[in-house]
Amino acid sequence: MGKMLSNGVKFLLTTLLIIAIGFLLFVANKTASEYVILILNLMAINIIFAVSLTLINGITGIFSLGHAGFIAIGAYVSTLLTLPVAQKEMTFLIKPLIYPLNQIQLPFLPATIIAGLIAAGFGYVVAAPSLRLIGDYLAIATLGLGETIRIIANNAWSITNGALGLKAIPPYTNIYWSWGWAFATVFVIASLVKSSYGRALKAIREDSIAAKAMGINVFSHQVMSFVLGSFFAGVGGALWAHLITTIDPKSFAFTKTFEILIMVVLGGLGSISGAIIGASIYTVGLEFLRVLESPFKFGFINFPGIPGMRMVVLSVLLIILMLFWQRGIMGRNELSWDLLYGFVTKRLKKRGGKND
Amino acid sequence: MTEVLRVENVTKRFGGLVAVDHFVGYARQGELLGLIGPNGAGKTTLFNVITGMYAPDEGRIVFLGKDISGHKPYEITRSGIARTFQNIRLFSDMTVLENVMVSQHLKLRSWLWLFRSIAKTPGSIRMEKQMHKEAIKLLERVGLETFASEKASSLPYGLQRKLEIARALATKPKLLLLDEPAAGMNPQETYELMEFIKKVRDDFSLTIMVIEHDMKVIMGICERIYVMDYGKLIAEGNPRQIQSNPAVIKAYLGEEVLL
Repeated sequence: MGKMLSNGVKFLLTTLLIIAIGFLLFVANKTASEYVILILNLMAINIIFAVSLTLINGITGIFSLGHAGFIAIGAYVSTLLTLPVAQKEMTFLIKPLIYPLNQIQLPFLPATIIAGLIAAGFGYVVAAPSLRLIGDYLAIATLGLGETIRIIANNAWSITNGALGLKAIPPYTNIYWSWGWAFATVFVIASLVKSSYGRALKAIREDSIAAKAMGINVFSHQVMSFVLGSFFAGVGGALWAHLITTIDPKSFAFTKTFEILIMVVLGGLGSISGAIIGASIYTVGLEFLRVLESPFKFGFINFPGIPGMRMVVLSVLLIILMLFWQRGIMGRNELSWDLLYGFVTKRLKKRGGKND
Repeated sequence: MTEVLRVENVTKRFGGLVAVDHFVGYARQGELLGLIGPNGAGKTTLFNVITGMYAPDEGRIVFLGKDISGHKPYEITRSGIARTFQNIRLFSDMTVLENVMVSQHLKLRSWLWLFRSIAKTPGSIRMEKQMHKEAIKLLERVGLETFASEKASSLPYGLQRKLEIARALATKPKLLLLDEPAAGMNPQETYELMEFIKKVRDDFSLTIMVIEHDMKVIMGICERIYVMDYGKLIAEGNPRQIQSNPAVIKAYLGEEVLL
């Protein structure tokens, strides 16, 4: 494992890194184009989604496919709380919004937190019965559950405005909100995973019978993980709704879950730093691949712009990745200062050896 | 000597099959007990009933004067019964140290610890340090400290068995149930295991119950032996009595046919 850095040095390095990222974001917010800022916001929100799904899927080993459902709950709840009263009257044409939702308007932060809490509450209600299932059955149950939430959103006209969705959501989400919440998510989930609770969750993933025999209340720990993951999914949904400013049930179809699952698997199922890397690569990569959708020249060959081409290329890239890197970029390892330090010292030694 | 465990008329049925049939037994403080019988006799099922993996259909299990029948496995472990498994069930993708530390998680009984751990309060950092120190100490006592940061799955087979016992010890049990600890071991490893079990019993002042097919182990270390066949208790006694017991010989070798 090589030499270890002391805790003080690690703390200092982490603080410096956070300050550096914060400064870069501050500069970007001041100088970058609107497009770049949008991508940065999306990146942060995708990190929230991916890290919260990692807690459920990768660390605890509950193969949940219902993440989009909790994102939908977060998005709808927060929007209904922040949308101005006049806007609500204009939006709900077919059936008016029920009382008291049509009378209240809250600031963004409380709306986000309430959205997270309600998503967590749903997570609790869902987890209790579906965690009696295991493996593939649990995956199917959670998939169905996510779809159920979407279909309810599609039909509950007096709450969600049905298939018409909600429009003109105030664009509250900015770099500070999205990255602030992303930092909070990573901090909470990483501290949890590094603690005794994290070891218990991993033990459940490895062998739930042995975990039971070691005195762990497997069921309540699984529920805890699911609820916490749902909370951050709800928060992410709230941020997302206030970024793209229109939501409708179609945006929360199961493809949304799979999108997040791709990020998580790309980064390495069971690694938080992997989820962050996966979410970042996926968000930025998808934008870079946009060139494929406009006409371009490759040598002498002219390519016409085909919409949707980038998804084809992305899929091929993912298949290649899975062939050569079955456990994703990070596997189950975490990026840590020790790892980086070991890597750097090894490199330096090598170079030193060559010079001699 | 005080009685640690009493199994009163315990029966466990799976459909029409009676896996454990009105089993009666007890364990006294500090005893090293053997539980033997032909394959399918119900030994592991009895362990599973004692540790709460199954609830008994009839009868009750009394541990340290308290009725624990039907309690959940994690509750039973917390009250002081730990076990190992017939087929090794380590947390294979975690390190040796983490495997042992998982067993200390039961110290954090209140959910307040969850918030303390996330907020990294001084109390939770102290707790984490203490868990780490105790786990290292335990690994030193069983001679696994050099492997602390290795993955559990990378250990040789014999040491994996040992780690499973260490992990069970980390729950601070009063009664330890070992399910075929010598399975798949060579004679040298088996000999070392026998010494290890005796040492563990004395060092940790435990009561130990062993299921084993290797008679050398059973006769070598056990002070009292229960013999099961078809779910029923057919004999009980010290190694010498068991070896000459006609019912036991019949169960293992079949009946003598006089021509």
